[in-house]
Parts: sequence; C-alpha cells; structure tokens
Amino acid sequence: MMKKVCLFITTMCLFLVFVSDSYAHKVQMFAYAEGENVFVEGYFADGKKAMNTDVIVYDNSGKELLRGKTNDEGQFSFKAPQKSDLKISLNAGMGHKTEYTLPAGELHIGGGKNTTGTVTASLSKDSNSKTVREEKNKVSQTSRFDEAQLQAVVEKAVEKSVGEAIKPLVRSFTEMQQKNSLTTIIGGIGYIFGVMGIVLYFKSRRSS
Amino acid sequence: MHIADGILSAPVLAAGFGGTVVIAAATMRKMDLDEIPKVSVMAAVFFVANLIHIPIGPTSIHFILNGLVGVILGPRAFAAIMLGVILQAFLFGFGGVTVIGVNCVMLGGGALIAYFIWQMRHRFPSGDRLEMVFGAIAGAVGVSFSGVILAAALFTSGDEFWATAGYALAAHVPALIIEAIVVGACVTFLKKARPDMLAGHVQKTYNKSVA
Repeated sequence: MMKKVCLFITTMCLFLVFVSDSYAHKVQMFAYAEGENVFVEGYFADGKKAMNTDVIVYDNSGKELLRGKTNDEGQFSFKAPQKSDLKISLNAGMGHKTEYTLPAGELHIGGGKNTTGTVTASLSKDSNSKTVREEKNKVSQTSRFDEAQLQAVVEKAVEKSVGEAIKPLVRSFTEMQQKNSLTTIIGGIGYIFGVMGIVLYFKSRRSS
Repeated sequence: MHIADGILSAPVLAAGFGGTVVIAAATMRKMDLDEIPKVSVMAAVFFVANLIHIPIGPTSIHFILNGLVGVILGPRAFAAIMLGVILQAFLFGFGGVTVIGVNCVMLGGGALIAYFIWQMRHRFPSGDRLEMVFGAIAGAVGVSFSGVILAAALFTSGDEFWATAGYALAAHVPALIIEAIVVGACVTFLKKARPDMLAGHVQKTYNKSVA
C-alpha cells in the first residue's frame, strides 16, 4: 500500500515537472548587436530557453521604444530604432526579470551608407563645374570616392564576419560568467562558516 | 522563487527591509553558543540547495528547503535564511540586492510558518508516522507561504493578485510535492538518528526514543 502511494506521488511529481515550465529559475539574457539589428536571447539558469517571454526595450531616459516576445528558441530580434544606449529588459514573470544595457557604440545604424552618401553628393556638385582645373579635381575626387566606398564596404564586411566569428565566443563567455560555478558555491559555504566563526568568537569572549 | 531587481516598487522594498529587521531582531535574541554551528550548517544547506539544479526529464528543479530549515532550527531559521539570501544575492545575483529584504521575509517567513506547523504535532497522539506527516506538511506549507508572499509582492507591482497567486502556486506545485517528500524523509531519518536536532524537541520523547 505504502509502496503504491509512493509510486503514485513520484509519477505525479514527474508529470507535473514535465508539464510546468521552470518558473522557479533565475532568468538570464544574452544580447548583441549586428549592424543595426539587435538580437536578444533569454534562457533560464538551468540552460533552458526562455520562450514566449516579454522583451521591452527602453532608451536612456527610460522611454519605451518597442516590445515583443521571444520565439520558441527564446530569441527575439529587432531593428534598433535609434542610435543610443538601449536598455533591454526581459521579464519571465514570477519575479524573474533581467536587464541589460546595450551601449550605443555597438550599434551601427547606416554608418557605411552615410559616408558614401556625402561623398556622392560632393562629387555631383563638382561635376557641375567646367574648368579644367576642376576636372582634375574631379578625377582626384573620384578616386577618393572609390577609396571611401571601398573602405565602407570593407568595414561592413569585416564587421559582419568578425561578428559572426565572435558570436559563439561571446555567448559562451556570457554563459560562463553567469553560471553558478562550483568554486563560488564553495566560496559561499566558506563565507557562512566564516561568519559562524566570527560570531562564535565574540560570543565565547563575552561568556568567558 | 527569488525576486529580481527592478520589479518591486520602493515602498515594498523598504517594507521588506523593515520586516526583515523586525523579524530578525525578534528571532535572534539570546542565541546560545551551541546553536550557532547548527544555524550555520542549515544556512549552508539552504544556500546550496537553492543553487544546484537537479535535472528531471526535459527540465530541472531546485530545492528551496525553507521548510526543512524551519523544522530543524525553529525560530532561528530566519537567521540562517537571511544569511543564505544575502550571499545568494551578492555572489550569484540570485534575487536582487535591493530585494534582499522582501526575499528574506518571503523565504524566512515560510520557514517560521513551517516551524509553527511542525509544533502542532504535539497536539496529536504520538505515532509512528506523526513526525513524517508533519514534516511533509511543514515542508509544503513553507514553500506555499513563500508563494503567497511572492504573489502579494508582485501584486503591489501591478500584477493582478488572484491570477498571480494562482499562477505562483501552480508553478510551485512540483516544488511543493518534492519539498514535502524531502522534508518528510529528512525528519524521519533525524527522528531515528539524532532526534535532538529537530526543533521543539521535548526531552521526554528524547528519553523514550533512546530507551
């Protein structure tokens, strides 16, 4: 009888654990920018993806810029609406929430395009003038434009490939940083016994 | 179970710290010298149990064990849990630093309630399974009480109370059952091996179990 009851209870808990999500876990976030797109990935302390979780993005002053939900992979991506520090907040409910501020420096909103744009403008202005000297100038301008364009293209390509290459590295680094490492746990136990020692020391001095 | 930073409003956080100070002052008075190691050991148990995730199937659980701390330490449980919560916040970011007060009241309060439930066993005729049953109930109540405080705290930050409370309790049902089993088993073991370790232990029953 007792055995049957135990079995029933165990299967029931297994069932419930299967069904319910890991609400009781701390939620963590991994966010990175690629060009003007920002990718956010949420996961719980046990490594499970945070699906269907609210993501809200604020600017510096705390004004809400946009909000959304993570997909089944725990991911959410959006196009940065402005070049400023973005405060990304991920709320998994039940008091589990995490925030991360993506510095403005990591966002590259149309940076490359702008340079080519200005160069093209100056070029067309130059081409309107007709003197030979300015023709020469135009030639040098053209070569400079090519250089600038090339630079922009290269910059963009390098940024993209380096970003791709670094991504897994950054991710594992973030995960490592946030993981409950055994060393820290043992350190915590050490703190507890250290506090015990201090209290005991003062107590024993008082009583003796 | 631990609430993170940036969710609760300032008055609630302040109330949490206030409550923690009051409860700590009330429960930590005149602590005996030989009680301190016991409190520390239980603080360590609580601290570790919260951080280690045990994989079960596709997901994982972690213990809260505030009920067990309450059953073993009695009123002193609050000190142990407070120490554990503070270290978890600073070392792991497990629960926010500003929320330490609320988290202490939430988890430590659960431990104290578990202790009261545990003490109720004196009103019943002693039997073989009395300790086990009350240990299990105390373990479950400890977690549920924390769930209610959690819901109340979230309610003040704008969530709807009944929905949140139901959600919080439903989410903690597996934890609740597992805690009940673990605390029941621990208590049964301690009753046989070291009955004097349990809180509210009466000397008379101790002699009886020794004889």
